[in-house]
Amino acid sequence: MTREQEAAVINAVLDGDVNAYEYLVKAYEKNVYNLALRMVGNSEDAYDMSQEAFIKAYNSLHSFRGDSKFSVWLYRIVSNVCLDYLRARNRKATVSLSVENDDGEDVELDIADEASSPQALLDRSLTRDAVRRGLQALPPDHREILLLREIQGLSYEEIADTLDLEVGTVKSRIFRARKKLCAFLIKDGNIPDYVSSSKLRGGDLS
Amino acid sequence: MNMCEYYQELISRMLDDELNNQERKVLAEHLSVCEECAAVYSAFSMLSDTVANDLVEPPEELAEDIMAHIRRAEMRKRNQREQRAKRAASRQIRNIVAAAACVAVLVAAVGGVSVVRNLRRSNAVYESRKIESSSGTTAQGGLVDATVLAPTPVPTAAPAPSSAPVSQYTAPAAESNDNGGLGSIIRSWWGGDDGWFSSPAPTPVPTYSVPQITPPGYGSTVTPEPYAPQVAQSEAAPIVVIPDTPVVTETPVVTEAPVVAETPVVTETPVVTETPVVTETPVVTETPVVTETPVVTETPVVTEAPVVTETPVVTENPVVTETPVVTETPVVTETPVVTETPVVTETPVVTETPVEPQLSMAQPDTFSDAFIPENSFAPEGMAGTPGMDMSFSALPDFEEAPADFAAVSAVSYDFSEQDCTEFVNAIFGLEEETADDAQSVQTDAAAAEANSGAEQYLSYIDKLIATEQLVPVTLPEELLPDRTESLTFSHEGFKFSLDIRFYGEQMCVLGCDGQGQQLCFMSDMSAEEYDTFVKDCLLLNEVE
Repeated sequence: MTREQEAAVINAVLDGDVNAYEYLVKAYEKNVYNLALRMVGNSEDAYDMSQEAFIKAYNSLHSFRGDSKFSVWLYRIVSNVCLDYLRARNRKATVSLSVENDDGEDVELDIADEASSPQALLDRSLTRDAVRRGLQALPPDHREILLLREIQGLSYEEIADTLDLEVGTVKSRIFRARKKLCAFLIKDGNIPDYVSSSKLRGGDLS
Repeated sequence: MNMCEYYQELISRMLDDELNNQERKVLAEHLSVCEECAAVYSAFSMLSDTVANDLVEPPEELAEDIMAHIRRAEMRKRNQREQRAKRAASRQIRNIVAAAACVAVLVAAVGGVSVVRNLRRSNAVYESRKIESSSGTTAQGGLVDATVLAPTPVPTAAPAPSSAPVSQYTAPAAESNDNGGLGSIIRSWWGGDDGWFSSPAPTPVPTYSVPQITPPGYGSTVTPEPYAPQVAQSEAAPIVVIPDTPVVTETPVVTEAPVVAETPVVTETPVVTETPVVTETPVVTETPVVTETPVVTETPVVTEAPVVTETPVVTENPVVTETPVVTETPVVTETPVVTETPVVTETPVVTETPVEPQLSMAQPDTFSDAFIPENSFAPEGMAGTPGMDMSFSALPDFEEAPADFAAVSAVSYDFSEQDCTEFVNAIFGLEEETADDAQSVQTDAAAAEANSGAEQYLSYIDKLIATEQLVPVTLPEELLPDRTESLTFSHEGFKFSLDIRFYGEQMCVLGCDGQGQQLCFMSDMSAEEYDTFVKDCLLLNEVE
């Protein structure tokens, strides 16, 4: 859907054509759902978050000025919804994983333990599960920015717009998110051989 | 940050396609020599691919649920908007109704002013003892107000000289005509209209008029005459009235009186009877001409007086009965004679006499008398006989009449747009079935050669009486109504009128049955309920 088409659909919705909004839902539900899924870590919550995000987007559509792509505006809503949810949610039992932060200090990564059962790991693709768990272990802001980049394909500038950050901050935060995710995978022992050097295997990812 | 970290950041940016050519070249050179950064590149690439490609299909119902939720929300909003709009509309309607009510009140107020004026006029009439005859005629076969002499002769009973002042109280001429005071009882169904309950058409402004009896039986036409302001002067003592008498004179109407004579007048005669006074005036008797005139004309005023005085004469009432003299009315033509009313002037004599008793007898129609003889239910047109009013006005008790009596009794409503059946049913609290019965009765009546809506309706009334849904009653002779009202409505194109009288909270309706006999029916509706009822009706009708 081009921006012109988006604009036409949005105008139709604003003119009272509720059904027109379905075009937007259909166009972005997959990305929204996956973003929510990676953000909250489970399909049920992802479903709820996706629904809430689309409804919020509909109710706030009149405030969409068209300065950016609708997708960017929509992802911001999804991110905020998920972050609000994550903040409100009392996370279940977690295991700690110490990771060095940007300042060189050890910071504990929150990792959901529900997927940590050996049996589950065996049932899934090791790498994919490792990445998912690694994403969940990342701090929300890092996870969010990384997902916007990797799943939604937003440019740094768009991410900066979405998250109301400086482009430089986006660059560095994405880089750190990736480093932490790699550190998680290394420590979790799920770094594929073909990507691991002796240094990486040793966990030297500073 | 060491150099490798710098290059690793470039690796991250390179994966995001955020490097320029120069940075790409530098990074490529570094990766070719740095194993660790090459490994990082591989790791970041793997993560990006994994994350980017690890997309799952959302549940099929996601979009559907989202849209369903949105549609429900929209529907709720729309309903709320509609409800708000309806509420706003209803508020507007209420405002409009309120405004209309205000307008109605203003109109009523204006009407009230006119009523007050009428009151004053009627009072004047009172004083002047002039009789006014109301006239009401419908366009077609409409109701025509006419004053007709009571058919039944007043009881010959000898007048009691010391009758209670109350009895002396005379109803203003206006009342008898417009309002239907006791005198109005006489008003009855107007033959020409074939109406059932009929009463004189409301005459808001007391006009001086003399009934013009047309064909025998019912049907008399009232010729309203301009009221003589002089009356006002008569306020004082009846004596004063005398001077007013001239007014009477004015009443060429009186002249018409003779006409009455022509008429089955006999019927009305009662009024005339009152005139016994006339009788008194031997002269009158003698002079046919005089007879005419004096009689009715001034009657009220003088009459009364004379009566008193000559009370004995009263006894002679029979003579009155002889009114036939009047019959000679031909003289009437000579009406001018009437003008001679000066005879009345003689009234002074009357002053002397306090002959109230006769009043009651002689003028049963008179509201003041509160006397309602059985014969009082006479065809319409009987009320308002000039002579009658005059004689009553002569009573000294006249001044004791309720201050607002004239105003009240002058009230009349026109419900000619309403169906008579509905109205009567409402007043007598008859059930809906009755209305249906009425329909059937009408149908039967029509089948049985009922040739007019009036006849059909009379059949309906007769049936109500036969089934005792309406029970005629006879009002106590000494009972003085607190107020009276005249209502006009229609049925099947014919107009009718009803006299409503209130005795305290008790409400009575006067009208005629199928045989033309005027009857009185008690209504279960209280005065208060009636007022409310009429007010409701007035919302749809004009107040006269």
